[in-house]
Amino acid sequence: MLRQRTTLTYLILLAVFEFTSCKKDAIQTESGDMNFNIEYHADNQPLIFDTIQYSNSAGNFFSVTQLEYYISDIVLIDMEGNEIHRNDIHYINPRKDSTIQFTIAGVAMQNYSSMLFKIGLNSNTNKTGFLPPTIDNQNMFWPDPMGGGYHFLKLEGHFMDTLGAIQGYAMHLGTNACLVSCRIDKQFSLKSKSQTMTLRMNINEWFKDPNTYDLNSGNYIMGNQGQMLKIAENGKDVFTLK
Amino acid sequence: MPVWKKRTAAITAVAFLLLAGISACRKNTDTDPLVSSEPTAYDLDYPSHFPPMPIPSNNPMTKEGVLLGRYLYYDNLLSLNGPKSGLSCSSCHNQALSFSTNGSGTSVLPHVNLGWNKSFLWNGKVEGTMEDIMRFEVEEFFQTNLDALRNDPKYPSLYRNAFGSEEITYERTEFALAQFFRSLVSYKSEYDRVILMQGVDTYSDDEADGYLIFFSEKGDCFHCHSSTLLSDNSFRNIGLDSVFTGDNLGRYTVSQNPADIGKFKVPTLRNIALTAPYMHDGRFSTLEEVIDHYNTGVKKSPTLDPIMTKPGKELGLQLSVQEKKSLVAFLKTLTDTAFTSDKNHSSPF
Repeated sequence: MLRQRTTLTYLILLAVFEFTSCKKDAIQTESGDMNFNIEYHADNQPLIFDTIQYSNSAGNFFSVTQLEYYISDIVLIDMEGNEIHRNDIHYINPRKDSTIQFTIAGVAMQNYSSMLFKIGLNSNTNKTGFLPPTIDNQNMFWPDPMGGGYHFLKLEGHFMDTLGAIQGYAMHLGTNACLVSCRIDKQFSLKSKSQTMTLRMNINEWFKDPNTYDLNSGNYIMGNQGQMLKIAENGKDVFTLK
Repeated sequence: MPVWKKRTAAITAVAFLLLAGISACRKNTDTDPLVSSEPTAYDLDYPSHFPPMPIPSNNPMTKEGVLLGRYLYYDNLLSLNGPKSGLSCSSCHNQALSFSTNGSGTSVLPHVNLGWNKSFLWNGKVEGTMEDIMRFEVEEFFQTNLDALRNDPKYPSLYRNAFGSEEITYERTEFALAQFFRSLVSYKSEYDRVILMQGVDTYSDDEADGYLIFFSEKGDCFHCHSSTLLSDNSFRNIGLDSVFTGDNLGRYTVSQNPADIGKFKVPTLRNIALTAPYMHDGRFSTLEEVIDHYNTGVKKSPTLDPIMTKPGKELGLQLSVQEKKSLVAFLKTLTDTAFTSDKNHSSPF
């Protein structure tokens, strides 16, 4: 009788162990890399640098000559609402081949409901010298006499002013208050070990929604907190996921 | 004398001679820079807040390679019977002037911190690595006749020390020069001590005011002459002209992109007080003239850099007399006398 009870106990323990192991196997998913290519448009027109051929909602006829920014604080949200945080900081410059895309490595191969990220650096990282001293990062320094840290965005080019003369513009964002929060509410999936997705930046969104920004009202915003905040607010939806 | 004593004496004598010979050889290796057993890694020294300098795996820096490059830099054999016959690199690049020259009409870019560059010459005609620009200098600019080096008694051993054999080739010549150029690193100016090393030294009131002008929108210099290297290595039109012809077309002559008309390489401002004249054509003789250009002399054109067109400053910075003086005072703090007097960079002849 004792032997029978002992055997039964062992069988029960074995069953529990197997069940636990199977359950653990069931929730383990493979992981892969999300590689993000970035396209640039001005509304429906692909961006070609250095040519004044684009028109924004304020009626400015403009070009883009320089575009640099940081993407950071990426959050992937799965279908159950779980958040996967990535603290990587990515410097992006579409005019430099080595920095035209970024990768989120080692994420679960599953469906995701949305994605959040910042254009710029949060207050913990927006400090002079925080980033590795690469040439790109050093060229993005926000001077210490102006608060320190880094430029979040440099968007520069030329536009035709109200008199038809060609002027320059420089939309430079920096300082903690001007961190841009982006949210993409579109379901996407990682289905392989390495998968490429495409983000699209609409340059014209920097100049609208909620603030229609006329370059004639301020073509150089660095150091003007009010104008920087307008552009930063507009930046929330410059990106879409293709 | 017993046989064993004779044998012992003979062995002792031979051993003594061998030891003396080995000692002599070792002594020669230690004291004679032209004799080396194998290349020794070169300790390239610069602060941790500098960007990492890219060094190709096929041309690591060695003491022997840098030494050979230094000899070549100062030797007019490099140009013997070529279009620049009689000249060496140092003919136009004087160490005391941060490896630039004070000649009128042309402004040569200084040979300082070039190891961080990816484009060279005012219009960026040569792009790539230090080895690429040395290839241009040796094979196109000087059109070096390698026989001139082969026939010089010191070079075979210098090449052997640096590269393992006495063979003198264009690649080895260019590699050695590239190593020497990479060794030309400047980081010991007053600016470094005060700002980048955060308080090792202090500025005068004038210098401090000038620093604030440089690194604020008052002067806005920092956007192009950024932080550590004091250049972002880009090409920009800073309003020197409104009509562009000939060499003044700048980067356009290389890229053929109309957007590059009038753009020139942003030079480093390290040791800028020593490297007059200024701009690609040497049109300004003093720092004061340079600042006057930015202050009131900017000329408009379609490719004028957007940074130059801030509201209220469409035609220049509008600095006061005192502000201009302060800015010059700050620029002078970028001078690194340790670099300009470093014997390791000087002529070995």
